[in-house]
Amino acid sequence: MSKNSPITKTFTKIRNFTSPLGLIGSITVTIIVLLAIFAPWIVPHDPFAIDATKRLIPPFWVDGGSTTYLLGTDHVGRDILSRLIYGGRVSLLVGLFSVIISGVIGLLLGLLAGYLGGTWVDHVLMRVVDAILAIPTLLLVLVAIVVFEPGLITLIVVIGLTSWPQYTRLVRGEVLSVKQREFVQLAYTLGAPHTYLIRRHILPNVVSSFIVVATIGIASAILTESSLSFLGLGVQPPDITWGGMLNDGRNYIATSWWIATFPGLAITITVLAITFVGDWFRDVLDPRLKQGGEGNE
Amino acid sequence: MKAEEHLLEVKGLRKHFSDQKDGPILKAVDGVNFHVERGETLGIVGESGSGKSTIAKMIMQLEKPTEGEILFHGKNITSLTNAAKRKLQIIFQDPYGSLNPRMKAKDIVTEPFFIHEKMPKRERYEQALKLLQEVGLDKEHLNRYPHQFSGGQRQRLSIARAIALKPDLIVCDEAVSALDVSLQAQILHLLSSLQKTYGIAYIFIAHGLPAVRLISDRIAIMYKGEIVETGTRDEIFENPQHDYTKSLLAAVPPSHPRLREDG
Amino acid sequence: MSEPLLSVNNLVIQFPARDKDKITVVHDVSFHVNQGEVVAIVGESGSGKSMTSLAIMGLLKSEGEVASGAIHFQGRNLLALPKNERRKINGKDMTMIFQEPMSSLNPMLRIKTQIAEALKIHHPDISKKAIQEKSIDLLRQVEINNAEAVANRFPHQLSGGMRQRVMIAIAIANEPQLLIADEPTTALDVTIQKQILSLIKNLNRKNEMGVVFITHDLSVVADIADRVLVMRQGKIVEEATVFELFDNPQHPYTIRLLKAMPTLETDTDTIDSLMDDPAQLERLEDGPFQTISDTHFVRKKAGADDEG
Repeated sequence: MSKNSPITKTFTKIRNFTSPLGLIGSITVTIIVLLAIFAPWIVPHDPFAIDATKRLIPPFWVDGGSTTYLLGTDHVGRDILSRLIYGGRVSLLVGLFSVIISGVIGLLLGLLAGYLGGTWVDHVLMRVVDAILAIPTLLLVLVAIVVFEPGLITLIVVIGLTSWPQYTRLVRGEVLSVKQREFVQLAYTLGAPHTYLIRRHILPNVVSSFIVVATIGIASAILTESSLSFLGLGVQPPDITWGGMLNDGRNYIATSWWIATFPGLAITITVLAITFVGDWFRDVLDPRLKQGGEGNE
Repeated sequence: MKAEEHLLEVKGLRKHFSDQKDGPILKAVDGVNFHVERGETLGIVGESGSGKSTIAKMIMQLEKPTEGEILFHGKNITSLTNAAKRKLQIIFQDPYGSLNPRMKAKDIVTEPFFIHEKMPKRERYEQALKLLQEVGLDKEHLNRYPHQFSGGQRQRLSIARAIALKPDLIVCDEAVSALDVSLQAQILHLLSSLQKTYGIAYIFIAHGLPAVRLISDRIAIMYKGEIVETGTRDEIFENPQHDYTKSLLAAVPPSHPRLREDG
Repeated sequence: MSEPLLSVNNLVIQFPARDKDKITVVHDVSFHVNQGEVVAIVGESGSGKSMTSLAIMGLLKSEGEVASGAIHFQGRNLLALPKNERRKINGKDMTMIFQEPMSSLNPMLRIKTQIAEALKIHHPDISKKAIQEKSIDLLRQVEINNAEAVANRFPHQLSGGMRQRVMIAIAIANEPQLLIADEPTTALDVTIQKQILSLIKNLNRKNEMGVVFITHDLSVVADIADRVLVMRQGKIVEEATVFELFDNPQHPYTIRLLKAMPTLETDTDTIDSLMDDPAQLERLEDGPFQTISDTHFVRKKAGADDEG
């Protein structure tokens, strides 16, 4: 019995935490999230403060750098480190909320299409999915942003409403295969209602691959946000974004490399770390690894 | 209830598949008649592709017959109420595939109860324990997931779930074929002792004659979608009539090296 | 007696485990196979029988490793051979067939191409014409009547029994001294199983080929084996000639397996007596090997003559 106590379970989970990339990924993501949440209290300088006398100071380890501005300043004298920490807030908000929107839509439509597999509902849905997937997301977002006013909310909604088809396709495929499994057929022979079959048998068996893909979806939403902000179509100044910072540094890349390099690194590290976590989830969510091994006869 | 009414009766059952609209037709089941009485075991033997599993699926209404009818307690199965359906259960070959990997043993075996109505936790626990004990498992297994059981234990779990609603008939679709021989014997024993206790009838589908012989009262031999011979166990084994039955019997490996064909 | 074709000495195979040091799946296994002899390894799933055969073929996946022991084939220690020497033996002097021929055949290639490949690997200079003749001849040897037609097909166009015949044709393409057959008939229908068993027997006799036959089914053993090794939980618990084993089984586990063997002779009223108590099986303890005869050994506690 003690084998099933919550404490033992947690320990087993930790012991099973053998993926070093997963560990690195989750620690990195945790740090980035904490930094974003507590940004106002930890930034060394006011990230918005312009100071013409402090323009283009390099990072502290470069000649002319100072430990006051660890990662240097930009072309109008704002502290890069402080701006990086603030920029993470926008990236994470966009990543998280756009995936919540697209995930919910994608999951529901995927369940519907998969469960009704082969019927006209499924066919119509999948043709819509094909059509949307055929158009580059960036192009869709560009059009939407021209119509609506660019900004944080627009960005979240637009990315959310354009990236659900990948989840629908994934979930539909998983549902189609789980539906064929004998335990679903068995429950069906017992006269189980549809809602029961979906809630009890199908959803729990598709949700783990969904979570894996959704996690990686956060990373790609962050990339989309950065690209748009870089193009000036995303979150508008004075709000700080990594993409916007990249844009700021574009003209100075030859002389003051640090302005564009650090936000670029931040994007890369964040996206990579989230991807590692996603891959790690794949293992963690497998019930066979949850606790104990094969029983013996 | 009429005296001559069979527990299950299959009349003129056919199932034809075709890939394309005008493509070739595969006659998986082609005009099959048989019946099962209360408390007896009917063995259905046939090789892969003989249509025996398709029959199981049609009885469970997982496939629609192309033609023919299936009567359970004298009523067409398509008109059965949920309550009547519960008296008809199935056990599959692969116990792992038939157990939801994300459900605990206690939830799996009591699922037939709570699909239609809510069940208090306490009662579910008691029912689950009773069912597990009935198939030779115990308290310690209640909270385990399917992957934590061995192959034989998983099949016991499927049996526990199948008997939960005290069915009149269980279709055993290759229920022991995937198990090691010593486990096969255990599961066969379990099935026959449950039959004695509860008077359950079985349709025992298998591709091997020896296992079928141990448990069946009557046996139907299937070949290419048709039943080529039906008889009591002794009739089939002592005095087979059809050539196919004879070749199946001849193909059973010897039980002792002395009995090798080549001496 | 001359040197055996294959001898396995004190083989130990281990797998790394998540939270423990290592799991030993094969414990101290020793046996030999003479030329022209069929040795069956019998055991249930997890007994280590397949691991042993994979180790002999050098096919243990990266996780599993031979921790100690030696495997001698035609007098050479396989475990000490460099990889390229090893490769020359596999597929030529020693070959293997598996339970599921579909997954060992390339679905994209015609049967004739796959047989030709097997021939070319070990005879790079062989002519096209010779390959063609030899391929057809091989298919005939495995008792395929319309050999020319089958040679032009793809694996999915053949039945399970046909595929297993093709696998055997590929396996014997280079006239091997030793064939390792891992449950080759388990996935087949009984009538087909019978044909494949008699095919293997014929090849064994005709070519004086040694066979290691791995199975969980004692009735198949009764049909094909000269000698039998019974494996349980990674150990050999009994070794005997097939007649000794069936007439005078010694180890409780062997007795149990024989009793559970589904046959046409079993008294149908004795189904109750077939009930195995899993807990009782757990209590079986293995002692050192005792010698029953020159060819019959059993791992049993001294004095423990009775079952259980």
